Amino acid sequence: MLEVHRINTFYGEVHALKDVSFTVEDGEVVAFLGANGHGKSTLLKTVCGLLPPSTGHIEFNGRRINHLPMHKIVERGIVYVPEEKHLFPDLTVRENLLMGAYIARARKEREKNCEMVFELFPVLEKRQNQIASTLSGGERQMLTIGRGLMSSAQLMAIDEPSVGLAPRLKMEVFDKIKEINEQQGLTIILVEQEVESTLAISDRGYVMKDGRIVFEDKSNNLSIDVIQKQYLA
Amino acid sequence: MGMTSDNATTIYERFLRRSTVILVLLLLILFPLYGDPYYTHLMLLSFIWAVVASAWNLIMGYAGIFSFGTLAFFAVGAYSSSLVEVWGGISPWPGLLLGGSSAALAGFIIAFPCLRIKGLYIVLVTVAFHQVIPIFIKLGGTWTGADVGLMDMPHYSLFGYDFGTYKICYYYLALFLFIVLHYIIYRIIGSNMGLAFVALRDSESFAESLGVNRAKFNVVVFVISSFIIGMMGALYVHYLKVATPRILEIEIFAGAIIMVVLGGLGKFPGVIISAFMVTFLNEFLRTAGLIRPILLGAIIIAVIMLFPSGLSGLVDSAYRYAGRTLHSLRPGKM
Amino acid sequence: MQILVPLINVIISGLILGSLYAVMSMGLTLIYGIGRIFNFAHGAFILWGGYFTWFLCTKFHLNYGVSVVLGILILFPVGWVVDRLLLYPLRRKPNFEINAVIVTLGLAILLGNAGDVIFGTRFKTIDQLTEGLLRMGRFTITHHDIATLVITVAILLFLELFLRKTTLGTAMRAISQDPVGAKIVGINLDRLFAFTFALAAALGGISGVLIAPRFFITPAVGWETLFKAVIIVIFGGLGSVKGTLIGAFILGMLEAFISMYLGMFWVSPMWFILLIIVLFIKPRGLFGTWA
Repeated sequence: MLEVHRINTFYGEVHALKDVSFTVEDGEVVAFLGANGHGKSTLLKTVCGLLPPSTGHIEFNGRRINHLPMHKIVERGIVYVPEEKHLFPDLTVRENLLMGAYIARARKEREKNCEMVFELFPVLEKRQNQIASTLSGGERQMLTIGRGLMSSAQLMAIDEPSVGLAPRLKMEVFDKIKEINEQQGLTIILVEQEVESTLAISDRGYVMKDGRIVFEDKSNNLSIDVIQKQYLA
Repeated sequence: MGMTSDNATTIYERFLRRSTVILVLLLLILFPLYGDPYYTHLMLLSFIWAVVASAWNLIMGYAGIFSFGTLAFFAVGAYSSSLVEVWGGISPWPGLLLGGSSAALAGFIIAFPCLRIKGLYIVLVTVAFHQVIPIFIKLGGTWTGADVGLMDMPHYSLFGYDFGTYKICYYYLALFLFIVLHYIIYRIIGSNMGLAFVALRDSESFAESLGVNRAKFNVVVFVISSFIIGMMGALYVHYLKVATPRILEIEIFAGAIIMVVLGGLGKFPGVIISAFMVTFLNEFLRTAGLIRPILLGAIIIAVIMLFPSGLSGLVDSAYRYAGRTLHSLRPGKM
Repeated sequence: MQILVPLINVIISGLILGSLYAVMSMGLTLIYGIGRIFNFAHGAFILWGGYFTWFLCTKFHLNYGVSVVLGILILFPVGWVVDRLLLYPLRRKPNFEINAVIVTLGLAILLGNAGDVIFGTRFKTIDQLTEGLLRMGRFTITHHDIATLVITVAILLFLELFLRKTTLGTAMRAISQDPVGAKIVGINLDRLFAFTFALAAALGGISGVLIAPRFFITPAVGWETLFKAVIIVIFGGLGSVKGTLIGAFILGMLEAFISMYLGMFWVSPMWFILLIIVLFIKPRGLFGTWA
């Protein structure tokens, strides 16, 4: 589904991604793990079109997307769920969700998708007329994921969904992500620092260090030890 | 060899820059002796506007304070010096300094509300200041000459030569101030103060965390630039022998903005070149009448769209290219 | 009873002025709130609303009402083109905010005087939409003023509905709250910036048309209306539609009162003093979100 060939991305002068290549198959949950500042978020931003790569190319369902503006990439079927959330603070929960269905393809299925999101996250339905800035941290994370689901995407890239959440909420978030993947067949790329939970719900994992992929394997074969060894090597 | 290629080209560049400056200064000094009085007049105006544009560049481009209404200080200097001389009997030389000082005071006052606000609001505050001044001038009636203008300012004189009669003296006065004030601006930029300005502009919180006092530097740059511009305002109206609210008109404002923007915000010496260009252009367009403001507007648009980094960018590249060429031509290279 | 009659007349004037000012300033707020730039050429669009109407009325002898509609239809694409030609290329380059201010300043100077060149410098006036007065007991109000009030209130209601209920309107609000979020949901920001600018131009044009019968149409009108719009927008809070609305009505009412009880002479100074007060005391205005 997604093929990334040797991309290099720069944040100004900083070489954030160095010759990164990987693939993602239909229906997978693929994890990117590693310490902060080693390029995981940059990777997602590059794939989703927020930060174009300087060299290399990205193909989604056989078509190149690396040169496209972000709104076109959303139209092609990739949606970004950022760590900073980027919700619309003065719009209601419902309005935020409806904005998630902005693109033409999603607009037709707006009501249907909204129902689906409410089923997944009942608390959002309860608070649907509240403005987003009044939500708690966990509710905001749910709203961000829900908004992403509204776009009827095929691939969802989620950046550190569990950060800042209480342990019980963290578990809930991971469960929901797995549920979305299994029930809807939504392919997911997941960037996280919570190694164990992430490996539990993913099929494969990549380890990143210094802007490169240094290791990859099926999640079954990965563990904190393996990853730590990469960082100490 | 001991020297890297980059060092060597820099030496050539510096040599080229310095010799160009000296050559140009020599030409400027000799100019009025052999040149047409009409062009001498234009050169004089260019000196004045070049200083104004450089000071404006200091506060807007260098310090990053978007003071669009800076021209107001030009008027403050012009009117305060004239008023004090005409009604207070002060002689013109101290009047010149007084013009600068009252503009500096105005700058000091305006600086404070500008401390609390950022970017766009500073544009609005300073433009409001610019808009308010003509109102006060008109309200002043015969005291300020209102729309007709204030005249009968005493003439400068030195060693018995009355500047009003010997206009060439104005030229040398303007040239002298042009050189001195630019030297001062140049030294400011190269000093620690200059570094502080740039640091505050580019990375405010970082600079403040290093102990740079933003309030102090903002006020200082307001005061310095207004003083310089105020003094030029005083000189300007003494030369023209009349002070009218027209110095704050849209066309003059547009011309001055073009100078700063065309020259390259925050960079020298493009501002000086563009000041000359605009002054001459304005003069030649004088016959165009109604079309002139339209052309000025079009030029502003064109400059921003095509030369966002202004003439200074071009000048820098030219010197760099010439420096590299000289370096590659040096003997013994092969 | 003696004070009541003129008082109510003043209040009515204030309402009309307020709603007129609200339409006049709304474009500036929208461009700042959504496009994050200050449009110096806003006054020029207002002025050209007047020019187009005058031109259509006098040269083609079109009815004032038709001219209004045509004027708006022309200004919307003009605004769109201005955004695409001048602002779109600058968005990708550094220093966008300051460059946008300067380029719109250049445009304002250009457009401001183009009218004189194209149409000549003779005084231009437009007759009112309808002649006639409405008398209700001791209160009088011209038909034109009633029409103005109806039109402006309709526009403001339409705008409110548009922003709150439609997808496009909500998208515009979304961009003003989080532009990155807007990108994430797939909004084409460039197209929406162009739309916002076009809408602002059209709103400016409408207000220019409505204002035109009150003044001679000269380039100075462009700067004066810009100045008032700036004060209203700062007073209400840059970027806040609600603030602009309330600010416009407060200031319109204030102007009506000062005009009646102190005289027309004090109106200009009132605006200056207001600006100085607001900028020195509370630059954020009533509902502003940016300092």
